[in-house]
Amino acid sequence: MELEIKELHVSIDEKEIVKGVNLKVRSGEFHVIMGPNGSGKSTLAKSIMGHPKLKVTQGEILADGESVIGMSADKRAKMGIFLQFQNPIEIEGVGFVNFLHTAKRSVVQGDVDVNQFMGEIKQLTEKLKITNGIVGRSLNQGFSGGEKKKAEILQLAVMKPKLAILDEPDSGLDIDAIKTVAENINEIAAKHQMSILIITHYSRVLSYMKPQFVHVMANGRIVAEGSTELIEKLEKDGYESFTNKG
Amino acid sequence: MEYAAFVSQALEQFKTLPEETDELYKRYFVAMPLEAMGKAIMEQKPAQMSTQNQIKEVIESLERKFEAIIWSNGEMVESKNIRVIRSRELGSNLIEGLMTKSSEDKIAAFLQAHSSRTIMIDVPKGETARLNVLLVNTTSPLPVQILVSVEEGATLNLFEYYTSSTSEQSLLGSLHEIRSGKHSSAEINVVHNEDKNTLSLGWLKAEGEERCNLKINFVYNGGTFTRSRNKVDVAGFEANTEVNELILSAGDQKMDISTNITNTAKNSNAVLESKAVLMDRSICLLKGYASIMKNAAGSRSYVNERGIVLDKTAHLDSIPSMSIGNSDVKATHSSATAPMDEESIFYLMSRGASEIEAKKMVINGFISGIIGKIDDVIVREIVASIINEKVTTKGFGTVPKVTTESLWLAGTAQKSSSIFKGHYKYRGE
Repeated sequence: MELEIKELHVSIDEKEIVKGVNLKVRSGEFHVIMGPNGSGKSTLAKSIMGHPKLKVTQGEILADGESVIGMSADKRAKMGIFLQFQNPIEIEGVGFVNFLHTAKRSVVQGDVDVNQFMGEIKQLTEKLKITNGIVGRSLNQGFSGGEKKKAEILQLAVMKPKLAILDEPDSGLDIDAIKTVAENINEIAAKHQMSILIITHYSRVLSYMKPQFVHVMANGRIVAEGSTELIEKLEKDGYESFTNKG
Repeated sequence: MEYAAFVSQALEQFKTLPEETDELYKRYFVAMPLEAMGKAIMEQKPAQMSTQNQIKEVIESLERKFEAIIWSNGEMVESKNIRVIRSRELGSNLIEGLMTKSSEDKIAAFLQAHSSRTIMIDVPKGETARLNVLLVNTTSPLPVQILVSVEEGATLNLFEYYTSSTSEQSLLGSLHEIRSGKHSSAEINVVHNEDKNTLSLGWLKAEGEERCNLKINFVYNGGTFTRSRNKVDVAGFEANTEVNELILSAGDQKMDISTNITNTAKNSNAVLESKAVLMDRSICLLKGYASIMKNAAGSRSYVNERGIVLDKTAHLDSIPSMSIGNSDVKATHSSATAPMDEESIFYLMSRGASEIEAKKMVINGFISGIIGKIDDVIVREIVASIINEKVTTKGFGTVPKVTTESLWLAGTAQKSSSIFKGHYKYRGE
């Protein structure tokens, strides 16, 4: 899927958070957005997914050339857009496997064979090294930080979107889990030719991945763009030199 | 006993119930619209032809064999454990008396005194019974008294399903007296799914004896107005009782539910858990009262009331309260009410669920803990189907289309024994 964002301004409760972002992610490309806390990265991600509280005051979001502004989140999901949440929501009583099955049925817009589906879940949980029986529990309830992130990646693998926006897939993970998550994202993305847009503060997860384009966001704008050399510069100089540009 | 004398006695009895004299409760009391509904609701009328069809349709849909079917003008019983005793018919002079002295509790007292029939359910010592009772409210009023006796070491699984077949406003009254004997085990599921013409009154008194396990699950889904008063005494050493309430209201439904659990014996356990989902302009007053008596050392009591209010026009007052008479007990009460969490809806919609599907998932998840406490799988299936219908169409009182789709809801039931884990120990004065 090709994602094109043109001069996007997004507000929440009259406060502008995203202040004119331009971004183009072509089909199959791997982009990363880095930036300090409060720079508007997560707001940008949620506005692409269609969070109802976020108001697009100016600009355009195009998915394969079609405007998604005003489109509900479920329609965007059915188009093939996926957002991995930074803080996945805990929902009491909604069984994780049933949720996954419902999600899968929604995006394929048809029946999903339960036996085949359960086989897929088993394989994916092994690959992601998900233990402690989270598949038998309520959605994200009682999951550790790491389990929540892995559960999000499991959803990514099950839903097979065309565009995956991953909001801090590495936060809350230990060193081994970061590697596992990164390797799984690589594999899923390659297998299904996904476009990937990762949001992160830190470069550690990127040492296991090969992003093609790096964007630095500060004060609601993209203030620098480049390739992986930019990550090295960030490691060396920090965000401060970019923050002033914003 | 004469009606006037009975009412007088009943009123005295009500005065002793703490929730009836509670100032906070009085402030939020939901007035019963009996006067507005007129005398028509109490009149005996010829049976409607549609009643038989309604019964047939309900049985077919629920795929359940009912050992007893009670409707306003008749009954059918096929079980050695159930007997129906006819008491005197409703007399017009008594109705007159009731209407002119419009007092809420007199109505319940009146129903208790003048139930047209008494259903006696008895499970003898050491025996096991699984019984299903269908109660159909027609244009004529249906006041029944249900006496349940589970004798020592006996096991009962009772399912009561209330439905209606009436084109005019009518009254349904059910008054329970339940006794769970020593070492007995009983699960009683009371499911209300009457239509919008039904005004429903319930009064339940239960007592659990030594080391019994008594569980009563209420589902309040139907009826234009429901008033229910429940009182459960955990009266035996190491007795366990559990009351679970599920309330779903939509449109202009009004629910007034008050339940009182009392520990009167040593090392006894009492749990009251209520969950309410309110839509549209519906109103619910939910009162949970727990008392631990002086001689109930080592006992545990838990009251938890939670609600989701979907629309700004709906109104839920949940009032949990406790009275503790012994310092060596564990006691907790809590209440929480909130609107639907928008972040949860967005999360589910981002995974492809439509807004209504997402809301259904959140509601079903919210109430799954209560549904999961119903041990009878078929009843669980019926309840899940009724709820699905309510959340999807806001309709109630119709014949449910029972499916197994919602059965997974039951996966997260919390065992009552784990409820007390980690609870603070009350240290009274």
